[in-house]
Amino acid sequence: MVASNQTFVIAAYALTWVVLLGYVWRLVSKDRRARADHGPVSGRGDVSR
Amino acid sequence: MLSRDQLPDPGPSGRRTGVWLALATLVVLAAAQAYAISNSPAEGDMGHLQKIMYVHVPAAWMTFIAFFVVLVFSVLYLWRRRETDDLIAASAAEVGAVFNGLTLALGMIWGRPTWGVWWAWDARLTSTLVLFLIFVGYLALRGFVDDAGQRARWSAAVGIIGAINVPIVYMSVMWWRTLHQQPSSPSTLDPAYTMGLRTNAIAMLLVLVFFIHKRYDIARRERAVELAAQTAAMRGS
Repeated sequence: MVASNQTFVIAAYALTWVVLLGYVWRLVSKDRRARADHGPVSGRGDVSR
Repeated sequence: MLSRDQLPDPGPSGRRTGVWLALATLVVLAAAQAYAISNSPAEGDMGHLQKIMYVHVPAAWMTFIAFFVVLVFSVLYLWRRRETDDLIAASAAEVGAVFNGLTLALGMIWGRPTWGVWWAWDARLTSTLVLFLIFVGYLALRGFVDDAGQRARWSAAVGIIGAINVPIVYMSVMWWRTLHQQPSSPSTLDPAYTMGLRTNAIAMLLVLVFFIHKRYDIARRERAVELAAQTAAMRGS
């Protein structure tokens, strides 16, 4: 079966959104983890060397 | 070095602003794509396949911009040894790698119906793949070096070497005979497609800026946690 040109265009836009939203998802989960870890750190005083 | 004072918790309202900013940039991108798709006529040779240009070309430009940011902040780090420069470079490298991977994948999707192959080892495709692999290596390097100073120095060196590849990628279609066409830009395009490309490039730039900014914010927190763990370990030993 030969895919039509339209299929390739749809695939390109779909892939773009999957990648961008996937990265947003990664940022949100990393942010959540960093905040959870950073909370206890903030309570222990200055973290500078 | 980072201190707690440099890491203010934005609180619930700040987090909400971040979510709204993310949504706003994505809505702008969706609107730009809808505008470009609905306003550009079918191209003479490629027909509607030309519409892939509105995602492929801006993604490639964002890759170049992100790696230029890596170059600038890597040089700045080696010059003034500020950890924030290293973290900005690392954030831009990660976001740049995402756009670089996307550019390659979109190019393959565009290449299959126009060239008849998913991949060809021509100069533009190969140099873009090399660029991608260098920055995947950059990110892997940061994952396995524990010492922050050494990690930053090595990353800066790899970041500078990787960014030097950007002009090679850009010029590759002019220096060598390639399957890939000459660079697309508003000056080389039919006016019917110019506005669509411009609006999508601006929308993608907003996404890039948001991604790097957010990733940098997270990187600072991660670094603070790492420092706290090292300090606690030293006190305990």
